[in-house]
Amino acid sequence: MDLKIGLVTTWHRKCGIATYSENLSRTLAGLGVEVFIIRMPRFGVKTPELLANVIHKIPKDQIDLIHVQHEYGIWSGLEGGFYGELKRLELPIVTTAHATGMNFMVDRVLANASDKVIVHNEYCRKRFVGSSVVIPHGCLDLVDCPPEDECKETLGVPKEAPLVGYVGFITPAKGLEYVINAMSKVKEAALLIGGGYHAGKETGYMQELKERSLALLPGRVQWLGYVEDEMLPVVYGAMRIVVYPSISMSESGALLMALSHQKAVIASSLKPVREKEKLGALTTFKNVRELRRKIKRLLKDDDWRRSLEMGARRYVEENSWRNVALKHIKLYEEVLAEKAK
Amino acid sequence: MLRILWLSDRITGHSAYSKVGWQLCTRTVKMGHAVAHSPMGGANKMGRQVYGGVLIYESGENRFGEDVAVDQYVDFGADMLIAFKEPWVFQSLHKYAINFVPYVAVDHSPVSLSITSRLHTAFKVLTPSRHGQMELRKAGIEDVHYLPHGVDTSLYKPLENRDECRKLWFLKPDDFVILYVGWNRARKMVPRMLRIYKRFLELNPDVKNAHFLLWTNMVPETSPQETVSGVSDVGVNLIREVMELGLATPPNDVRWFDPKEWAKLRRIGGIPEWDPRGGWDMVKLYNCADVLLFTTAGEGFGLPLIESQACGVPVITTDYASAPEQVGVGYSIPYNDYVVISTPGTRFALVDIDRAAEALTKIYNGDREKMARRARRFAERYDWNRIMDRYWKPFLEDAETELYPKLTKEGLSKWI
Repeated sequence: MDLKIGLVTTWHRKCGIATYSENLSRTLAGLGVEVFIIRMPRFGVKTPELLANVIHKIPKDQIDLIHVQHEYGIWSGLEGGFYGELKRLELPIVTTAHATGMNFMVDRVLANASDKVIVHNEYCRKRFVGSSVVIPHGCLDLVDCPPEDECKETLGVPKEAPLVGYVGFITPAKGLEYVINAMSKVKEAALLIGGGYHAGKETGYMQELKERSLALLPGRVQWLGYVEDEMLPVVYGAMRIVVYPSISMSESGALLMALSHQKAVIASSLKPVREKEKLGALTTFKNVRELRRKIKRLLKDDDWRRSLEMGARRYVEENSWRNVALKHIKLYEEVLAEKAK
Repeated sequence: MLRILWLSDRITGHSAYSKVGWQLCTRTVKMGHAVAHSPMGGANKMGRQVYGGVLIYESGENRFGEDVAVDQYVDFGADMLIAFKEPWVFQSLHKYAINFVPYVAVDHSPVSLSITSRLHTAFKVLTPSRHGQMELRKAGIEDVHYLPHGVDTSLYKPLENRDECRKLWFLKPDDFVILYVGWNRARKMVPRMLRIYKRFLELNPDVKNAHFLLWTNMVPETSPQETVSGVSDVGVNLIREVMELGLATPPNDVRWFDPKEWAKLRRIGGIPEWDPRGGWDMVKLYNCADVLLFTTAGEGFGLPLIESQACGVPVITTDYASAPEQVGVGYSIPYNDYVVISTPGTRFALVDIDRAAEALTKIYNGDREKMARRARRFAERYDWNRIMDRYWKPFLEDAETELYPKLTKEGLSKWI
């Protein structure tokens, strides 16, 4: 079956959804699906008229169905009008809800307007008001990082101390204070932080974090700024352990990126993360004390670290973009078959 | 086919902004794209009209069009809004979820936060100079594209009857004519050019019939209340300065236009670029000059530099910001100090008067025919046809693929 889909998404921006869509659409295309990207503006004040403008540009005669990559912040609460207008195109609608349960009114709109709603994990499925299908967030193929010392040399960081690190967007929800606090008492290691904000150079929050880290970890912290994709193997390669201390999360592309780089990951004990812990992909922590304890233990216990790295590899292979894209194709076909009845 | 909304000074005027806008808009229409124009400054109050294939919207009440631009963007179904104006004038436009493409002329260094703060969420950024591109990238702005201004070299060219041109401006064939073309605003530093001219006369006491022709408003047109960027937007009374410096009497003198006549000219939109009937126009004006003196305090591009050289006239400018890039034949004079006279706090360079006067002397004693040939060759690089092919077409093609990407087994393409 020759599938042609219109993917409504942010595109080519520093944005998790844009990165997700790029990976998904490239893999779908590789499997024979024609993907038409309908570009959603990522930044700025949206109005119903501006969103209608997006819909008016959809090439409805060229596609079989519309797939919307939804995240609350991108729509600014204007989902009602948007989906109303979208329905008028009379094409099947699939929505991926990248987060759920944060605005039940919006969730209700997605549920009512979409033929199928995709969520990334059981946690999101339970929080969603309507019925939904779990298709996990895809993982990049396994990446072999260069040797640790080589990576450290490339980055110009001292080779002596092992590095605990974080790579991803830096916003208050990412909880970086926890890892900074925990590391203050892990004297045998240093902290490496890579990432930036979606737009612009630096936020006040990032400055605050930098000041805090410099005060608590003098000579033991380095900030890399936004890390370009081609530098990721070097940055992850320099790290022995990667920490994702998010305060809230539905799914994290950055965390999965660390797994693709075969790293031992410690992440906050949030429900979607615990689902991965059960599969052996990572370990979780509940508070700063436990985080500190786990960092210390992982630095010493090579066997445990290797078993987590092995778990990461297994998870990535199971949830490769190819497998995820195949699940999407199956779902698209079901939706189209249902419509054809 | 893209749909582009062009927000700027009216494209039917004679300012540098207008000329560049006209060329880019009408040529883009000829390439098959749809272009609409939102004229700033209340320039169109007569409703929608189509001119040169461009849909011209009615201007808003806000002098920079911010009250109407987003509605026009929606109405036109635009793919991008290109704003050709200093970004610091915008209070809200850059905050909307539109594909905002500011075309930014950077006339200073380091680039002001008042500019960069409005660019972080832009779809793409255009800039007419390599200086601007470098400054913006240094400030962390991504996706900055170089799109130089151009010149129509079939129009701006050396004329055979230069003596006839001079007659139009009451100049004689053997006069040494120094020309300034541009606004009289503090940033342009015209009084400093007067001092350069005076120093040139001091260095060359044997010079006879050297005239400094000022094609500018001799009295300020902008009141301090109307400015956007502070003092730098306000001009000075040049007549008084000419008198004080003793430059008003022949044989070596400054020549200018009666401010009342100038005001009348401005009301009809200035003189045309070319008047086939033989009247005043910009091409004939450049053709009557021996050198363009353009030692301003900072240029985002410096269109007169290119127009002048296209007419075979060498140039002298300040070695600061974007202007030196536009010097093929002539001199970029170092500056020896700077001032901060704009509200955004940007630096404006003060050219070295002695060295500029020496450069005038060199041109006075130089082989003008040889300089004219070289100047012309240099300016041909900026011919609009070349600019379109080399910079604008690739930019639009990239934008199309980024706005309408289609992914298939064969790779990335566009779906419009």
